[in-house]
Amino acid sequence: MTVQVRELRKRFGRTTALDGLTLDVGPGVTGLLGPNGAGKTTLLRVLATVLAPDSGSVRVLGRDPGDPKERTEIRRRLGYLPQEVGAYNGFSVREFVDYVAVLKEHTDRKARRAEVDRVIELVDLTGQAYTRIKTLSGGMRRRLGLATAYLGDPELLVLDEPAVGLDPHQRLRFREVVSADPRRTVLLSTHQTEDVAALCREVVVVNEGRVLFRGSPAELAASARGRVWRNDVRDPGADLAWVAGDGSTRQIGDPPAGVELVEPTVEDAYLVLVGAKALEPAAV
Amino acid sequence: MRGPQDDAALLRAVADGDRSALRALYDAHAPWLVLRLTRRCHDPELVDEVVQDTFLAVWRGARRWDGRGEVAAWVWGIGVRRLLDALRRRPQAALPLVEGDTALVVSAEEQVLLGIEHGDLGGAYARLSPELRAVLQATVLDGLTSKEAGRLLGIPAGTVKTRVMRAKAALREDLA
Amino acid sequence: MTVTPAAGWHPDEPALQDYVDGHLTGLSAGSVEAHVLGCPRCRAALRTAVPASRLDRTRDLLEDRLDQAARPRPERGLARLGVDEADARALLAAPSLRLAWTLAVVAAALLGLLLAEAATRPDAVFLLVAPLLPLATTAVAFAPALDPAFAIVAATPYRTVRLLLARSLAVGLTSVVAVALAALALPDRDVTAVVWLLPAAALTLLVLVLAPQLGTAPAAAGVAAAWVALNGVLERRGLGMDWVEGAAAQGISAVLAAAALAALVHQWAGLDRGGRA
Repeated sequence: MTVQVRELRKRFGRTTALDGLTLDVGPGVTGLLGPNGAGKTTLLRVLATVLAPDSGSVRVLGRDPGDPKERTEIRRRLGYLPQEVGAYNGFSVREFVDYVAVLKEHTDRKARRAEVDRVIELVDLTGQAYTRIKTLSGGMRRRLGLATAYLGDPELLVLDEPAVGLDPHQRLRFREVVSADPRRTVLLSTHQTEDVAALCREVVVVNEGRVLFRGSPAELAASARGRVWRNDVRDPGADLAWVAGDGSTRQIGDPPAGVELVEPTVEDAYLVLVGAKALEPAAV
Repeated sequence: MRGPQDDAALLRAVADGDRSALRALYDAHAPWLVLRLTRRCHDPELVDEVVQDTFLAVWRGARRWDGRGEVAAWVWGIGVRRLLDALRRRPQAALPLVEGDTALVVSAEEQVLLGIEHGDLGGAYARLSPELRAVLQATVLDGLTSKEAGRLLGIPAGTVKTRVMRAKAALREDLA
Repeated sequence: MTVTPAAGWHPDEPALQDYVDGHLTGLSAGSVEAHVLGCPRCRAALRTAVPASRLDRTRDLLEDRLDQAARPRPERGLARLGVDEADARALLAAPSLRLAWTLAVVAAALLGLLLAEAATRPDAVFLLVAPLLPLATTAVAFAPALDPAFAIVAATPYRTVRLLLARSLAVGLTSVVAVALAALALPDRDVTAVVWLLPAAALTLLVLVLAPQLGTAPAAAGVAAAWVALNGVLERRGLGMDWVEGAAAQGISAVLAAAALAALVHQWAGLDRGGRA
């Protein structure tokens, strides 16, 4: 197991971000699905070794992030994309990636140049290599951050909302890139259930600092079987209902007898687990 | 095949800070530059250094190109001056600019430049004295100013000018 | 062999080969060279005459020099002083450093102006304000929150603490120099111009010790407020600012600074995470 987390707790003032979270993550792409405030970002920050938990045990790549020497060893094998890609606006794309590469101990200049070219090419930013970061769109900044995460071909990639701001074509390309090497462990958080269904070998649903579900996307969808149905109007047992494309009302909750049950999607199952909170507008 | 318009476009891109355009210019022009410099300097390491200096200067000075004439000619103008600087640092590396001629291939451009109509130019050129050939090579063929040619050959600029006149006169007389 | 004066003349293959092999000399070589300047086709033909490895090597060196030239001058200066590339880059990259430096210079200049023109008791004003300058500017340089790329930087193997310390040091020293220059505006160049140093060191180091626990801004504000309050109290007791010059004040400052330094060293051994600052 690349990542092992047991009973992780973290509070910020009066807010509890992680409430005894337990999780294992292995090679392949694992999706972290949950509403805002669920604790996804906090968990990812702990695993990326940039935040210390209050209590609980964490092992990343077989090492303990609490020990300074082991922490440095983890960081040598880790790539992290934070929720906000802060970068120096005056730098060009290449300059910034080069800067991070230097910090990641790529000391040989010629090799570093090749590596920087490689990751910039990976995220399709070669055309913008000499452009100032100031002028980049949000999606491009995201790709810039992704490029820095891929420096050094890390064993573990921790990506916080990597696909935000990407258009459908870029999203497809992103999926290709991220799932290219099945031996690498990728843990990414997202709101988008389509990304999870298309991309993840495993999905973990979190809410209120705890794990609600862990399994394959198919298993997640199947968990909602019998709780999703279709009708012309909203039925009393429905927790959530919305009008589908064909004009009928899709509903989840406790179906009344005799209604037409439908095969649940990953999104349905997610909503069943998380409830109305999932439909709150995302704080972008 | 890359034409003169493409070179001009590349140079404009370089003036805008496009490193890949500089790379493309390097790929197109470094080979002939190496060959041309090698005929004037027998130290390959120095030649390579001058090539670097040249393209560095191209990077810095791309904005100063006036947009007229061949980009390659402009590059040579930079290259030969960088060569001059390098040779001043290490004078023993220069090849003598004057050698004996064997087979001759002459272009129309050369004849026009020398102000000569027709005839056995190559032979007439070979019959010139070494000092006269040296100034012709430096000024007419390499495009140096009288001052620069003087610095290269170790003579005053005025002497360069008079020798060029004498050389042209001698050629005209020989071919008349 | 003689002339084909038509436009569109090209040296044929054997002629080009002769040129490459160095068999052509003088005017003949010269005419090939002059022709090449205007002929992309012949230039392309000459490309194979020079070994690719040689061209590649020169190109790599060229790229290197271009990269070096592109680095900002302060970074090149540091490199020449023998500072490690990573350290130099990390030190200068964040805008927070420039911000802190600007702050130091501007504030010191204002202080100097104040001392020269406005203050009725320049010594007192100086002793009150001077220690606050390194405190404030160091806090600005130290605050990870002011480094936009901090989240990414923190996850790299580079020791973040080293970075923050280096920045704080650089800024701290600069502001000390700036304030020392401002001290030139004092009417009597006496011991006042020196006694502020130990209190300044103590206050600044105290902020750095408290910053990881409380956050940089609260720590800085708190320590600054405590200093001002302490002076206010002593002022009311009739002591004025002279107390700073006393052996007691200097001694306490020295002890406090040393203790803070020791605490810092101990604390930072285990702290190189983002923290909440």
